Amino acid sequence: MTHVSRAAVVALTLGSLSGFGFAQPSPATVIDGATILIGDGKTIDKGVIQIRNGKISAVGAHVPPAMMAETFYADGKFVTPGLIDVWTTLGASAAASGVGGDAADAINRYDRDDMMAAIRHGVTAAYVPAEAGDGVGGVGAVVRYAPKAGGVSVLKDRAALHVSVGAGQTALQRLASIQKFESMWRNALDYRDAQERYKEDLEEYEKKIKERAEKAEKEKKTDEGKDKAEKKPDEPKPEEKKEEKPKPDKPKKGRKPKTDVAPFGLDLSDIVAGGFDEQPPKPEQKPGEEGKPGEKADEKKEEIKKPEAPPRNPEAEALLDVIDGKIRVRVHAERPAEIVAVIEAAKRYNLPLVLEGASGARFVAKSLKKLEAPVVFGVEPQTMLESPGPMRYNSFDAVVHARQAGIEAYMGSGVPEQTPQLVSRAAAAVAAGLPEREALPMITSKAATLLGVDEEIGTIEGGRSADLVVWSGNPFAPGAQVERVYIAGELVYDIEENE
Amino acid sequence: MTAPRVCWIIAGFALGAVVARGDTLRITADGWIDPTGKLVKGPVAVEVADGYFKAAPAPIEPGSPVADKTTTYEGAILCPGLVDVSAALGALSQLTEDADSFQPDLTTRDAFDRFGPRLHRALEAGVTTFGLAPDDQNVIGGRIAVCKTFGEDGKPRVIDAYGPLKLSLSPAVFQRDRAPTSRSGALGMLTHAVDGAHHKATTAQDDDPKDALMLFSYGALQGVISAPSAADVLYALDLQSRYGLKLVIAHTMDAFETADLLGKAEATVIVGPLTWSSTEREQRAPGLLSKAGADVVVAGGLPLAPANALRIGASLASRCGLELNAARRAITIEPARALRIDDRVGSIQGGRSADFVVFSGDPLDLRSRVLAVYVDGAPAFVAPKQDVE
Repeated sequence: MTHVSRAAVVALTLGSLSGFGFAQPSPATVIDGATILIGDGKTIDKGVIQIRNGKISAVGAHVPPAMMAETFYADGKFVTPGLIDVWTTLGASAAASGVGGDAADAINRYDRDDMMAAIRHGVTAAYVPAEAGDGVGGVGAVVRYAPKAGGVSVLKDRAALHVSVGAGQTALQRLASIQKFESMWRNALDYRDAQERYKEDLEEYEKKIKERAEKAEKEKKTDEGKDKAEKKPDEPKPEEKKEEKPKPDKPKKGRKPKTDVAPFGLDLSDIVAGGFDEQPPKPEQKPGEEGKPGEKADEKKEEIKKPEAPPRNPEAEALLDVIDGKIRVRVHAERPAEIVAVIEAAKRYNLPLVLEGASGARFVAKSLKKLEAPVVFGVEPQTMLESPGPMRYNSFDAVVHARQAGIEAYMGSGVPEQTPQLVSRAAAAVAAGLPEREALPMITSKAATLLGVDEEIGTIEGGRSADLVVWSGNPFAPGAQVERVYIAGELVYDIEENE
Repeated sequence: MTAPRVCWIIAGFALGAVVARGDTLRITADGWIDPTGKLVKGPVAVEVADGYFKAAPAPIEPGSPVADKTTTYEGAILCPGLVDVSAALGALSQLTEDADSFQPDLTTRDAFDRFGPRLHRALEAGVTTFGLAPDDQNVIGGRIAVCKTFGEDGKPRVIDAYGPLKLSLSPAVFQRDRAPTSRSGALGMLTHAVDGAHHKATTAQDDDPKDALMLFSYGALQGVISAPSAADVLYALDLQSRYGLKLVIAHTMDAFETADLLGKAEATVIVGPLTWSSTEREQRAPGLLSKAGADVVVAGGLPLAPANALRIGASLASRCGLELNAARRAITIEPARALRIDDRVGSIQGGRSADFVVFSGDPLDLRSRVLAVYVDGAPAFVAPKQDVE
């Protein structure tokens, strides 16, 4: 045997061993001896976590040793799942926040400092909304901070549509915002009706054209350069004209009678900058389409009128997706009056709602509980002074009060600065009355379930992604520091390299 | 956590000051914060008479007979009343007179409303003493009035109308309509003023009256100076060593650059306030400074920060490198020292005012709750009973 062939045999043998013998393409990482807080409230003392291929391959008090494993001895330390901030704009830029925008596209992947600040405090994943001031925004995404692999990875795109109500500072702005919020769902349904009517009318129109074309088969018209290359008839029949009238407004499935009335009958559309127009904007008329003077019905009575396409309304389309249950809606509302409006809309249109902000929730806790929608709270008051603005009713124990009232409540941040403080804020919530066993699940397993990513993250279980935080002690205890962070099995932070 | 057993606390609250004036009050708990900031665990008893601690808490045998007039807090920790070194609690509008940027003889006592709202919320969060600090708009803002959050009539009161002198190098002192309008102007004017006062003070006869600036100019009166940038810190340290001043330096932002300097000077540095919105850079400042050798004070900044801002600040700092004992000192004895009242409050020792907070656990642990607050030996606040699972 030559040298070369011997090497080949060795390579083959190794290949077959790894292929058949072990079926383990990469060596495992093992965290050994730590107190493991699973994330669902359970604890494993002096446990072992085995990581392979980015996932947790085994966890427990006794895990059989893995071949060639890289072991991190963590006696006296605590391990938790990566914490999840269910509401933060950390990492997001304002770029893609309007209607049709997508937070997943708006993440600034180069904002490494902010992401590392979150990671150094144990936060590895977050729901990022696509906020747009007052009204309808874009769609939010669940992201995982991955500083080494391109900044972020998107765990769930199009997680929820963002809507904000009552963001204005003055009472009239807020009133206008509520009015707009209440009517926009109705308008979305009207928009759908208009679309469907148009579709029917168009079919009818085409049918007529066809019939006439068959009758007068030899007549032809020039094309006029239309996109759809539809033929313009010359001799419409008077008797067909009648049927072109708009059909009576048939009630559609899931649709309720129009009951939205502006408060006190006011039209507040001029008050708020940006316009709270009840009507969708007028379309730009394309050349060659409808609206030419020569085609007006009153001028040429015999002509078959092509039905006018309703203008496209992206906002209404986004809201229809919510009404149809295709996507959740996360409505940011702070004051009790706005929350009431949200509750009413959610009930009337059966919206898949998550309420955001909700600092005034305690005043409407009963109706909120009845609605059974999850509520994501933002940050506690940053001052002892009372603010006249939307945060007027905020309190340090808002999330605790909601939970005690039976509301499914979560702790989010809302703004990027507070995300690193998530664990400290959860500790403070314990002082405010949150049972201690619920504190960690609120920011790990339950948070993952709320965001619909619990198959992947949120608990330390076999098969879950290895998003793990090693703490110097109990994460809620004073002085507890994050010593290591693994994201998808990769060590992204090690305190020893940063001291 | 076990709910504390309160023996006759309601009666004690009703009698309040009467009890404190007459008899000896005995409090037992399961640990205390000693003057070094250490959490000493184990059953202890402390005795209070006439509003003062008779001695430091002494260990007791578990299960020993309960003496007469004893209030027992099972599982609780006794902590010195928290001290906010720079608060604006009860301030009537702003705390400086902006017409002239040198106001060494004003005192914030005159802008203090002891009936102001929200003061009780600071008390309920464990704050017993605070310095009512002039704002940052004046180079020399005036004297800091030292106040307690609870007095004999149940309202806050001033305990020292003429505390340390407040100085500022903050950009807020540069104003268009009066000097200084620039940083160099501010520094030049301050140096000139201190130099003149120093000369006057050191050449004066012993019985000549000395004003605040003169006292400050040779270290007889402590100053607290806002020095936001690293350059401001350099200047303050230089001024201090040149004239032998006693300066406490309020500085957070550039601790990465200044920690070694401040540590070498064995300075007392006020950091914060630190809140949920503070950046990591700010949160790391206390740890860096303390490690370098400086004494660190964590400011609360009430009411512009939440009522429990002192504990939040110290706790956040402890997660970013501030040693636990130093973190506890930073909201008790160190701010008392910065206000020159550490011989009266800030620690649980014989002869000190019996200002203390009964916490359900370590005060640095944000899970801990305030169970009761005593000021001058009187139960100023007793938390309503909370069912904790």
